[in-house]
Amino acid sequence: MKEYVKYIGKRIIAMIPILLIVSFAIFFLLRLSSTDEAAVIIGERQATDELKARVTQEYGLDKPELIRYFDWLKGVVVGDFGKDYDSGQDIGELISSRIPVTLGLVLISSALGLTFAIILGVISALHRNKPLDTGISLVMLFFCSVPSFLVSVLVLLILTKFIPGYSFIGTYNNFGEFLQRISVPAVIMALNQLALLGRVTRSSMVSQLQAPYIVTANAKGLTDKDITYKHAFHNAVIPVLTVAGMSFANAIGGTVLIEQIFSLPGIGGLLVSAVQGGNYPVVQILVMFMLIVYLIMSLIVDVLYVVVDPRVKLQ
Amino acid sequence: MKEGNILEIKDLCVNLMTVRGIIYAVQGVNLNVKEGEIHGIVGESGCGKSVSTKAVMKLHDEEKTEYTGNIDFLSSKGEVDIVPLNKKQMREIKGKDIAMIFQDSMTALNPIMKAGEQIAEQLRAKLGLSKTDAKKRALEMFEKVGILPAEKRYEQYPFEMSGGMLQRVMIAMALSCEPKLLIADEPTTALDVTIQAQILELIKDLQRESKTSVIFITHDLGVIAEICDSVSVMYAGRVIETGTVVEIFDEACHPYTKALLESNPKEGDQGEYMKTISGAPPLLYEKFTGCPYAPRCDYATEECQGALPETVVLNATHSVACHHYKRVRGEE
Repeated sequence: MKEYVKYIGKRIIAMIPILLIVSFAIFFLLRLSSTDEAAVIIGERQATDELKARVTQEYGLDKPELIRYFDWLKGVVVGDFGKDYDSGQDIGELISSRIPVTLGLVLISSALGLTFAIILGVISALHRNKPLDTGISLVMLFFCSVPSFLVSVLVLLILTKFIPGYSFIGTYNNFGEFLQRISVPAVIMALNQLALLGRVTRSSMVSQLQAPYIVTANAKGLTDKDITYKHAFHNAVIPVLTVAGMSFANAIGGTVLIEQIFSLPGIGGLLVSAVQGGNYPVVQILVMFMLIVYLIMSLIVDVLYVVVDPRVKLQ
Repeated sequence: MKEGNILEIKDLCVNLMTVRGIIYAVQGVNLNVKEGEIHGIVGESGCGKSVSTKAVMKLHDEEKTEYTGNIDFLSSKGEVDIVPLNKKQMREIKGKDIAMIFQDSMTALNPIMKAGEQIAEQLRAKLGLSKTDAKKRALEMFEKVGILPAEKRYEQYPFEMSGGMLQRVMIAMALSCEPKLLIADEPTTALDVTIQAQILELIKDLQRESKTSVIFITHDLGVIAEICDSVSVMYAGRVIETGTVVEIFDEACHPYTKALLESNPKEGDQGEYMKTISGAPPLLYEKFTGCPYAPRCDYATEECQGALPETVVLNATHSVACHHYKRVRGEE
C-alpha cells in the first residue's frame, strides 16, 4: 500500500512539467493568431480606438508575451484563472458550473462502456462462431463504425417521437434533471466505447482460451468456471485495460461533440464557443482541465495495470 | 483388462475436424501400460504420439474430435473405459488419477499466477484440502522436486524462473495428487542438455519412489534407453512395434524401427555420413489401406501396398505390425 502511495505521489509530481510545457505551448500558439484581443473583450462592434487603448492598459495586453504568460501562470497557481472576455465573469466560477456535465458524461460512459464491453466480450468469446457471438459482433461493429453524432441524432429523433413532451436536451435545475439530461448522451458515448472495448475483450479472451496454460488447467481437472475466469479471464483483461485507457481519453474529446448535439451546459460547448470567439483565457483553462482529466485517467489505468499484471512493477 | 496393466488402449482412432478437412491423426492404436513401468512412445513429429496420449485425458476440443475404440484405465475407483466418459466424469480422473507434463513449461504455466498457487489450486480442487494444508503440501512437493528455497519459490511467478525450474514446477504439480498414471509429453525437448539430464533423473527417481506408471513421449532414442522399461514405436497414427527396451534395441523387427535405430548417431561414427530415412511421413488426411511406411521401406513388396499389416504377437512383450518381419529379422 505504501508503495502505491509513493508511486502515485511520484507520478503526480511528474505531471507538473507536462502541465507547464502544455500551458506554455497553448498560450503561445493562441497568441500566434491575428485575433485582436482588446476587440474581443469590448465586442467587435463597439470597439473604438479609445476604448481599445483603455482595455489594453487594463488587461496588460501590451506587455511582452512572456511576461503575460508568467502573470497568467502566477494567477492560475493561486487559483485566479482570469476573467472571461465575453461576460467578465471569473473563469473559475464559469467552469465549475460546467464541470459536472462533462465529468459525469466521461465517467458514466466509461464505466458503462467498460463493464458491458467485458461482459459481452467474454460471452462472445465463450460462444465463438455461434449465432450469439455473430449477433454481438455485428451490433458492436455497427456502433464501432457509425459515428456517435449520427447515432445521437437518430436516437434523439426516435425518442422525441415516441416520448413526446419530454425534453432530452438543454440545461438542468436539480440532480434528478441532471441525471435525466446526461443519461441518453452517456449511453450513446458508452456504446461507442463498448464497441471497441468489447471487440478487444473478445479477441483477447479467444486467444487466451487457446493458450497452452489452458490445456494445463484442463489437464489439472479444474472446473470450466475456474479455467475461464481464474485463468483465461485474468490474462485476457490486461490488453483490455490498455485500450480502455485510450478509450477514456477519446471520451474526453468526444464530449465536445455530444454536448453540442444535446445542448448540454458542459465544458465542450464552452470550449467550442471560446475558440470561435477568440476567448483565449477560457480556452487555456479548459485545455488544461482536459489535460488534467486525461493525466489522472492514465494514472488510474497504470496503477490498475500493476494490480492486474504481476509482470508490471511500480518504478 | 489383463492383470497388472493400468492402461489398455484398443483400436483407438482419433479424428480431428479442422478447417482443411478431417485429420485421421490416430488410426487404430493398441497399447498396454503395466503398473509401475515407464513406457516410452517414440516416433517422428506428426505420427500421433501426442494426439493419442492427449486422448487418454480427453484434452482435445470435444466439439471437433471424434474418438472410437477403447481406453481402459484402472482408476482409483476401479476399471473404466475413458472413451464414452462425459466432461464431468472425466474431471474426476484428470489431475487426480492421470496427470500430464507438457513440452514447453514456459507457456504451459499461467504467466500471472504464482507458481506455488498453481499447485495449491489443484490440491484444493482435487483433494479438497484447506488453504493452509494445500500450501503445506505444495511446499513439500517443491522440496521433493528440488525447487529451493521452497518458501521463496512458492511466491514467484513463472517469468521469474528458468525453463528447468518451471519443468520442475510442472512435475511437482503433476505428482502432487499422487496420480496412478503420469503422461510426460516430451518434457525435456525444450531444455538444454545438462538440465535435460537432471529432469530425466528426477522423473526416474520420483517414479521409483511413488511406483506411478509413466508414459514417456519422446523422439530421442537415447532418452528411451535411459529411462524406459518398454517402448512403443509409432508411425502414421499407429503403433508399429512394441517391446521391452532390450527387444526394441537389439531385436527390432520392423523396418522403421531398425531405420530409426540406425539413424541414431553413435560414438565413433566420425567421418561417416549419418544414416537417414529418405522421404517424409505421410499426411493423415485419409485412412490407410496399405502399409503407410511402404513408400520409404527397403523391404516393401506389392503385398505392402495392398493390405494394412496385422499386428503379430511374437511373445508376451514383443509385437510388430509388418508383413515382412521375418525377413527383417533375417529368418527368411
